[in-house]
Amino acid sequence: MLRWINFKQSLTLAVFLLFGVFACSLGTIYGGFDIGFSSILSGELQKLETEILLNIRGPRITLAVMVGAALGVSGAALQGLFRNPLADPGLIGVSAGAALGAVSAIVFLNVELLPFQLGKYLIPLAAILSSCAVICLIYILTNGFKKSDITYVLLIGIALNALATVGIGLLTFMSTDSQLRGLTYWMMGSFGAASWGLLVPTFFVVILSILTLIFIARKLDIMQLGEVEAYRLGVKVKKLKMMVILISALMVGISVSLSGIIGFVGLVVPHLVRLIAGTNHTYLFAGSALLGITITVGADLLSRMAISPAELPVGLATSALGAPFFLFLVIRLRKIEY
Amino acid sequence: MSIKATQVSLSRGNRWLLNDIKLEIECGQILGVIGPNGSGKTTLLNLLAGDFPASSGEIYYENLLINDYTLIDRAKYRSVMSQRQEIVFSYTVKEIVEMGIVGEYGIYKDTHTTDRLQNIIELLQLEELKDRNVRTLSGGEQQRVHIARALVQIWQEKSYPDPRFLLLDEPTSSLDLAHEIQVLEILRAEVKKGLGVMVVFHDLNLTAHFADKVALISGGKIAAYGTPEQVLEPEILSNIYGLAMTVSKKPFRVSYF
Repeated sequence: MLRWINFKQSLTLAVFLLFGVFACSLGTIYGGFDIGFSSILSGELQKLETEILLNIRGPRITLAVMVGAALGVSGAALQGLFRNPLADPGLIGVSAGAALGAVSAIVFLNVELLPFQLGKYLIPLAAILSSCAVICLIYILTNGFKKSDITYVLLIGIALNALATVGIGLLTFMSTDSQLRGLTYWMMGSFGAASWGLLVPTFFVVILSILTLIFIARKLDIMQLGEVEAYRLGVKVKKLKMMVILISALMVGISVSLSGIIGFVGLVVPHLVRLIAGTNHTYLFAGSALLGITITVGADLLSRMAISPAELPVGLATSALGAPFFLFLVIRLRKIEY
Repeated sequence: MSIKATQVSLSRGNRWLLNDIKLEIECGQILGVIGPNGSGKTTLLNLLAGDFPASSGEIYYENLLINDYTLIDRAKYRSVMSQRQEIVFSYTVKEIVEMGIVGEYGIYKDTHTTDRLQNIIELLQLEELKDRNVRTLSGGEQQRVHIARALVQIWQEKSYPDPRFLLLDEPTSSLDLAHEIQVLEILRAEVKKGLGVMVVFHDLNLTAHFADKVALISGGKIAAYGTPEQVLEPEILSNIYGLAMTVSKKPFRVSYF
């Protein structure tokens, strides 16, 4: 019994896992308030330290882990499905849809005045609902993904993306000064607002989605021969397309709802993983999840440390790291290709 | 033991792409399909592969309608190679050939498919290219990789106790002369073991040399169907291709200038 993952790829995954664990440990210890690693291990924590770990750092890092894994894997899945190296979760309109929902909630509902901490749940809820609405719209407009050409789905996504952006623009224009501040921060992304109540369901959705995608990774490899060839090789292409798009959209919609927009992870991480040890999707999904986690947790740490005690929006940090790196990647790839 | 088309027609809008096609791909034979550009050769191959349903008439795999088979069973029964394939990401040659393995979508693969893979890689002399990025190969090398992939899908070691078929659309169009002959000889060896093959040929002389039966397609209809000697007649060919042709029987050659 040989695995589809080769030795070099297994090794790479192990290294990524180490990176991920390392980033999470650093993220737990450092921040506006440093906690000694030895006191965590020995369990001799002061009340304040326990409070910070359980209710601030814990949920924060868990959310960063979920978002990083979700964005990395869905980026890899969508690039594979569309056979397009430039595809990313933002492109099918789901992120923008989530943003529109969140921004609507901020502008139309006076979230600070609602009782029972409802406000904390309302923004993510609105974001999830509207990203689901985008998924349904894609489904309806592509006639249940029956349109044979995958480019069509991509174009629908781009159009929906543009529409959502218009909505966000309008709401931004309408908002008051304090709302404007709230929604600008949301758009730049942050893992700071996480709470366990919303994290637990997100955790299950993301884990299940990634496992399902790894399970159908082989079919996505075969899809690289083209849709017709994949069909001839026994792959139910329409079902596969529907699954990959729905799973990616759900995973991204839910995690982006909690964190706001996190740029570049979905686009860059899969390319990096491919560049290191190969293209097959079993390895690519596992690798993108692990590297995505490393990058979001790392960027979160960076955003907390850079101008401490204030915080940079993490979306800014990922884009600031991602964009130059992406440039490097493009130039380097060009050298390899030609 | 055959893939059979009975009075098959295909229309798009009010245009007939294929009209009243009746032919059979038999085990142990190479059926060569020839005809001018746009005559419907590739459409016929796609239709026989089951890519889309015929407008009228039926396609049978053995004595069962094609629709009675699941996609996986179809994939195990016949394998298809198109004229062009474009791979976007940097897969290795070995990975592309592995994609011919049907149905093993899990995380594990078993050893007997690994053996089959190795045999075919050796058969098509891809050993040295095995770990290369498929996108950096020449057109001819890529074509050999895809032939290997198509073969892996249905290949059996000693003989073909169950019927298996290979449908190829101009499989040797980018190959140099030596590799072209090599690939066709490999196909002929498999056919001797019991494989059924349909090849869309561009070159009439290759058809004369390698095909057991020939179907000449023109304007979506079968213009002639039979042994190479019956079909490759100067009057028939000159008429269809609009070019004066002569045919010599020993050696069997078609000449057009």
